Amino acid sequence: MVALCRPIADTSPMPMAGVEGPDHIVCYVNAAFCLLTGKSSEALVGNAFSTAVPTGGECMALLARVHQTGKAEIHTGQEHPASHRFYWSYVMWPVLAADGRRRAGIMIQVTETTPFLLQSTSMNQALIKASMHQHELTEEAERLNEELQRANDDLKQFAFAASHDLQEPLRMITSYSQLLVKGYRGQLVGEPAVCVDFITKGAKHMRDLLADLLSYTETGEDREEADESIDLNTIFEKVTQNLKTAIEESSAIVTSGDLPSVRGHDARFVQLFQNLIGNAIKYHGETPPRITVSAEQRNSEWCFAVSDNGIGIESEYYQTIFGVFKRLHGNTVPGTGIGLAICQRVVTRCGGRIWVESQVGLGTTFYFTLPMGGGNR
Amino acid sequence: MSGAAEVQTFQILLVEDNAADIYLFREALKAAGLNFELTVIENGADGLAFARRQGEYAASSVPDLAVLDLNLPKSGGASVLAAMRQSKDLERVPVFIMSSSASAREQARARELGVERFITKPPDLEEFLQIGHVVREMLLKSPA
Repeated sequence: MVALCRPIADTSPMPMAGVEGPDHIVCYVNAAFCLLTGKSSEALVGNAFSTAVPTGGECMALLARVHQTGKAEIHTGQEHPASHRFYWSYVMWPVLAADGRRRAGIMIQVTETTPFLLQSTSMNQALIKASMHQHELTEEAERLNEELQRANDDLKQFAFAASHDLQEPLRMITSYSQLLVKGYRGQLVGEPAVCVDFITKGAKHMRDLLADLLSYTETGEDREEADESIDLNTIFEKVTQNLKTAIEESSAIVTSGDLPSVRGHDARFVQLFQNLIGNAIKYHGETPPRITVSAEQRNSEWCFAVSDNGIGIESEYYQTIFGVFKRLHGNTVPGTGIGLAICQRVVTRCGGRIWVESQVGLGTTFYFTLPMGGGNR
Repeated sequence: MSGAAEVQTFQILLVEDNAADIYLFREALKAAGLNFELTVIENGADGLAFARRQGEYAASSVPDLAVLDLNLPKSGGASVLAAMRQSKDLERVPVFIMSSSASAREQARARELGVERFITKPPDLEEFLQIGHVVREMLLKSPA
């Protein structure tokens, strides 16, 4: 058996041992086996395999099976001797004598699996941790999503209240103050006339605010249907048509370069361009307004510019003007202050940005970006 | 203007819960110079009872025109309209919807059920008073 083992096992880096007979007496060990067990060849050879190495019953049962059946066995389960805290796995196979018929003994090859096991355990633990973290993150994302959904629902309810429930009492105030004026025609003079006038104007202003607020909240409502390719040249034509009276009255010149097509909702782009061009007309300077609309490609998006030669905006108000109901001109110029808030909402809903650059007395340019992908020019 | 409107007294039914609008509606009819008897029902449940000719409404006279508000307590104006369209006595009564809501969906639904006019209550008094003239036109046009 020893002579059979030597040529194969002596130089093998894998720990190997040979055993003989029903008691599995160790007859051969290679250097790697000695290194693994920490015992010399002399201490091992001549002893039963069960006493030579710290193995468990499972390994010995396996050895008995190979002895009985003459078939190779692989023991993938790890032995776990409590005193050593390391893990081995075994491959055992019968070795035939030179005549090729008689059984000479059993060869045992041992692999230390401790590092693999520890590694796999720590990997398992890391995996468990990661999956727990992932789970927590998912739960957090779900929670945030629900919160957002709730906030959105609240906003929708508010919009509905603003459009219907709040309009009703307002209509009463308007109609009945008018009825009062009508009923007391000629008699309502001085202070009472002034009071009723304020009531009427206040109610009208509130009506405009509510209508605009509704329009603002509706701007965010049509995301799903908003996936058509929109030719902004057509939108520009439509907007200048809508603003025809204001353009004629102010002798404004409104021009546009070639505009691209973008994805979105046409009514929202009308709102966007109409508010920007409308503002440019409204806040004109001494000379008739000259307004130009242009677009250029920057990286993967379109950058638009709406420029005018109007009164301009001081830099400290560059952010404020995009707020809901924020106005810089009081009652001298009509409006509710929702226009730019709507513009911002339209642009950000499309995944773009909007900002302003201005020089007081010279003019203002509103810039906004929109993602490309609406077709070619 | 036809003289018939001044002579004949029209039976008008108004299903409306808002007292201020009932008052304004009456003013509008007066402003249009109509002779009218106005029956007011102030909630949807009574409106339904009227449309189905039940209870105290079993023997009510058939109006020349019905004006319905859509947003009513208990049961909406659309249900009242639907019930009227299923009633032998009332199916031919011209109906005029006067609502505070201008939702396109509601308007479409009302038109499906057959209404002659759909008006969103105007916030301006003069416009509201014009409703009287609309009513007058509808009454003079109807075969009854």
